[in-house]
Amino acid sequence: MKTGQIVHIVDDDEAVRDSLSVLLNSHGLMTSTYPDAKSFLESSGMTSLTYPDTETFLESFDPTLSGCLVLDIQMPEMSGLHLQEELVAVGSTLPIIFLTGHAEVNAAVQALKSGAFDFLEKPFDHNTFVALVKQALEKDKKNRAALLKQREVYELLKTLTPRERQVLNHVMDAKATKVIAIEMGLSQRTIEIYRANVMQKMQSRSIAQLVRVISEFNSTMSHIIHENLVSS
Amino acid sequence: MTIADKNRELDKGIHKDLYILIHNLNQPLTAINNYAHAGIAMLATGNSNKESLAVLFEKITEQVTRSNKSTKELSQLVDSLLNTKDNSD
Repeated sequence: MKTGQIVHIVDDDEAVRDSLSVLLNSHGLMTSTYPDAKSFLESSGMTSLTYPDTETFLESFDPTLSGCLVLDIQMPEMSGLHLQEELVAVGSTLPIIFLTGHAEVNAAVQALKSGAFDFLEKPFDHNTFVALVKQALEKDKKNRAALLKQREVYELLKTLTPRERQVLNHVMDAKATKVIAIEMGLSQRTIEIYRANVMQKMQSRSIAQLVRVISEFNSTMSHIIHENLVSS
Repeated sequence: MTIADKNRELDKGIHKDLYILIHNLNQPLTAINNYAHAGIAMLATGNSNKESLAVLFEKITEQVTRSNKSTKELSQLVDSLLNTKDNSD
């Protein structure tokens, strides 16, 4: 139990969720159980989260909800698929393992299309289950590391002045200094200074590196919210 | 509705009942399997004591009772289906 990651188990069958939890505990994994989708959403604080922009998302991004989700696909009231939709909508990167019953392959395919980590059909082999959970936890670690990196980029972007950000947008559009100068009605020399400031503040050694970092930032963020901090 | 349609509707209903019963049997068996393997893992890692194992056995017997009930329901359904078939033959 050294990682602080928690396996969140949502299943309406009390014995199934308790036994899954006991099984994972016996393999040294921390767990938390919920009888339905709603109680998971409530206790995770993700009930009504919406992010109007990148800033709100990155600032409310909660590293404590780290781990993975084991989700029964068939539950009364809010189904597993519905819960997955809600989580995707709030930008959750928590890997989801779906547990399906007999003849629920269609629902499982739907879940995978919406980004589920994997699914297991009941009854399943306990070794397969434990191994799959461990893989999902690894995936979560990687997701988190990627998000933390983007948060660093975001912190650097915040230090740019509005003018510097404008110049950065033009640079992302692959415009030459001369063109930027004309469009912004400033001298080439001034643009060069702005550019140098952007490079220094973004800790970039080259334009290529800067463009790569910003493109990666934009594409990661666009999965989560549909607004780019830096347009490109 | 033709007789064939009617039979198909009836079959659909029976299928649904069977799925539910299989599901009800599957759930406690899944739990029993998980509890038993948790016990094995606890013994292997030395992470167990009499109390924790007693709790596991208690949970397992509860689920066995539950699965017995489902097995009974399943055989009752099978019996009544066979009887219906016999009568209609």
